[in-house]
Amino acid sequence: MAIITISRGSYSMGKAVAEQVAQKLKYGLFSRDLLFKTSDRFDIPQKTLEKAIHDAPGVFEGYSHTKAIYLAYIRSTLTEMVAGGNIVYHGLAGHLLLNRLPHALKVRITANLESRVIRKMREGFTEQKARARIMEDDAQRRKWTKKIYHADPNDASLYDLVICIDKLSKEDAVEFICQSAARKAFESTSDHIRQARDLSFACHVKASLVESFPGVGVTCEYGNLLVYAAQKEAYTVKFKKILAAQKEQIGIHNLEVHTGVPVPVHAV
Amino acid sequence: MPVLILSSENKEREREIAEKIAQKLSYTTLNEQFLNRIADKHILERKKLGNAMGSTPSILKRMSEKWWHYSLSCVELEVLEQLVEDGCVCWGLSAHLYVMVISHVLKVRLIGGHDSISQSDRHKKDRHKKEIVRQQRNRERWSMAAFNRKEADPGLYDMVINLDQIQTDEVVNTLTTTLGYQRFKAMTYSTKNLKDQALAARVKNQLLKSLTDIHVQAQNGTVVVTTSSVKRERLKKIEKVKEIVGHVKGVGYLEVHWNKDIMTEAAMSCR
Repeated sequence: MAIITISRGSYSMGKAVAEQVAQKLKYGLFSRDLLFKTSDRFDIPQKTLEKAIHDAPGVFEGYSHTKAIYLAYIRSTLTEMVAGGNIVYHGLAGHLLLNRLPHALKVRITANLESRVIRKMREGFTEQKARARIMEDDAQRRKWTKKIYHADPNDASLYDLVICIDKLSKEDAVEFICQSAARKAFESTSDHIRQARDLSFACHVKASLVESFPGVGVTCEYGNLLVYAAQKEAYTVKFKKILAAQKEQIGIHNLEVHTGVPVPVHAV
Repeated sequence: MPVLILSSENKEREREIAEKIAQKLSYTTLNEQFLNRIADKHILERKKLGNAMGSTPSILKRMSEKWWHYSLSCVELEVLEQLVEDGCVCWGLSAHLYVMVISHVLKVRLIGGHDSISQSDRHKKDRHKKEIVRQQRNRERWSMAAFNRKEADPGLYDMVINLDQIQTDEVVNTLTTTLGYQRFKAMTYSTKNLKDQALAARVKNQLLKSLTDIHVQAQNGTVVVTTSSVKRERLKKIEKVKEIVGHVKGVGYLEVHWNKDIMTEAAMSCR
């Protein structure tokens, strides 16, 4: 009942590895479906969402919080989709969006630049163009992760397993991931399922608040929700109305609003 | 037989895993104890050699840059010559930084696995975390200065395993299975590549005894030495390189590439 996130650079064979892992373990597989679902759920054009999750924020976007809003929406949909377990997600930032789940196996697939260039060239690009495109894509992703999560996607400590498809083949990578997923640490125990559900609740509430109150932080433990907000936000009618609606909708046990205290690091 | 090179920030777990794998596969081991032999062979002070493997040169440590580079080249040379024998598990000698692109060498980095050390006390845990970060920074500085590579860069390894979630025995099983794959068998071509790297290390070691700023590459007995100096010392330096390399066993043909040392030249012209 594991959750597997596979992070990959472009043309690193990560997609093929994810597909084979899902097939071997008979798990659900998704990547772009996340954007379709988020788009339907929050009524936002797919292209806008895709841009938010792919491109690094520009100079002025830092002030408008647009990307943060879209990311909260995407994260809310993702946590809901993986809550049941038995899932392989190979889209962008899975390891960061699900970093609060200890039983999510976070894998990164890498490959050396030369082999990636050769794979890109099969699409009709010249060597120079293929290399430039791949390097630009890598730079964009690095910039995006650094800006939004203050992390480097190449930092191995973000993952449980990093596999380089070079000496090791695609099949070896599939084998390693399947073996790791079967390990006790990644089993979906009742506690893990509860944590996934709590994260899903927290992300759901954050998504409902983020547009009007981008600074709020939400945590959830055992179905008890804690919302951290600034005093002037917490007393507004809109804030109270959103929370009341959420409490009824998702069936949480208890809801507390904390003001004047710093948002904890583990809050979403 | 394959060669396994391990690198880790958690020395205890690294040693435990390496020893278990070596025992399971009946491989030889190559670790920090090998520094004793290197020190004896090259007449180096053992303690100082150990320091050179972990810290950058400084006047306070009474370690000159020239001596530091020479002592590292001694380690590189001896380790590469041992690895040519294959069927070996190597750790603690920074071999992951100088053994590159050899198909029968599996390079694995082990990260994390520190939690069990300090879970009880929060302050202790924070202190421990800070200490780990400090050590990582030092290692990065050292690896950049010594080999111009970042030790933590996952691109250097075939696999990176996080020990926070994956247990020691599971890592041992995974790695022993992987080393059994046909593609990790030592082939004529991969052994030749390793011998070329050993030859380059031998040449570099001899040159660093008396010269500085040396880069060496070797292929099929052809050695390419790249060096730099001020323009007026060009011929002198090239001649010296030729003279030293001429005595190194295994060199078939020598090419010396010279670059102008712009910085020294500029400094001299300002005088």
